[in-house]
Amino acid sequence: MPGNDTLVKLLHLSASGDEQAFKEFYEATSPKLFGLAFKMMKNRSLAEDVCQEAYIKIWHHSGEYHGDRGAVMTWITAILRYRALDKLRSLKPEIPFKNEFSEQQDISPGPFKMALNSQQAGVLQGCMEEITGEQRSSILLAFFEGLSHQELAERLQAPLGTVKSWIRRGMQSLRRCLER
Amino acid sequence: MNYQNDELIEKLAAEYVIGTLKGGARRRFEKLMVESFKIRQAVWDWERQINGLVDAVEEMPPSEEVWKRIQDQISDTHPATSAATKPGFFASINLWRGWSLAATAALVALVLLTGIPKKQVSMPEFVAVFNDSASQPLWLVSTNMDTGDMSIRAINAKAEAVDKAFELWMLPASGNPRSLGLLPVGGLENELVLTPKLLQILKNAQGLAVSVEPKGGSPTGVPTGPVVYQAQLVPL
Repeated sequence: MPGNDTLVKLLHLSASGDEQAFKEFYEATSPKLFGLAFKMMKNRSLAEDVCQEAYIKIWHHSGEYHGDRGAVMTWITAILRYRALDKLRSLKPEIPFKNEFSEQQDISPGPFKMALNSQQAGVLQGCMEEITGEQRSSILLAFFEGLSHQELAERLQAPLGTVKSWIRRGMQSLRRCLER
Repeated sequence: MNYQNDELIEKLAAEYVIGTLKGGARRRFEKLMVESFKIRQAVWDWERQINGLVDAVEEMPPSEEVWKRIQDQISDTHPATSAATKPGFFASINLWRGWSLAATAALVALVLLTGIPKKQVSMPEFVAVFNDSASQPLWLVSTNMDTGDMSIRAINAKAEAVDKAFELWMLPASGNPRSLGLLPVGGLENELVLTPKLLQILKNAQGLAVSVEPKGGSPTGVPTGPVVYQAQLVPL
């Protein structure tokens, strides 16, 4: 993927109505965002809908990106995730729990760690390793599957209050670690 | 629920970003985000921390159909904001007038008259006043260099035009100006809490500046409009 500076430049051009620049932006970033959409929606057609909606939003708001939002990837990840979370919520009762996504969604750090290693995610990876297993699992399930506190409690077979505090404490520890 | 409570804002922002804030509470929080820069900032802080989790996701190109559908929808619509042209920011800095003794005197008088807004005053309190060309105070910025609490009060500042906004910047010792958000007008007051990182930049900053930007703020993350005022933070 091109560096953040290139993405910022492409966004600025998009904001002035340059469709070719936006296409380049899409080509550079969509494999990652679509991967995320698929991981969250677990269904290709839903993931495509979410991806489409996210990029249309990115196009219309391309002039509003600014440095306080973090890197461009941080910003567009937020746009896609919130769209996917809303969609997941609206579909909730209809989507069966079992689906085309591989069921070996191990919540232990194993596969996550491997994936991170391969991507050199660096600092965040280190910090994810510092928090407890329960905290990590609940954060990852909420982030990638959009589970509510209640659903997390069911999935992780723990009391609601416990799960809430895993997420809360886990995120606070992550923040402390990242700000070090 | 008291949405002014920093701890609560931070907690809700975390839940919003991770996704556990659902339903009506999520919608209410989104509404508050539109109204409050401080809340938006809390959300952005969490996004910057946690969204890097996406790095672990395997890339997966979407089918070509997706781009076609996007293209169909965008080709007859331009983005809402067009990229503004960017005049040399540092060139305009040269036009600024320095902090004068008169301004300091005006500041002291003003602080005596108005007091420091709301927050308990502790020793690390710093203030800056933006004055207009007639030395009328426009905004009073006060900040606590220990906690990062910042309050910005519009004294005489009025909106420039319906489609324009004033944006506050700090000028780091090196690198681009960093936005501190849009300035209030018409007697309003904004309160925000700077992250430790931003606070560190502020401590070493060369000063504060105000630029005129499109409604909603600079589209690029750096000042795009004319820099109209400047001020220094001075210890109380």
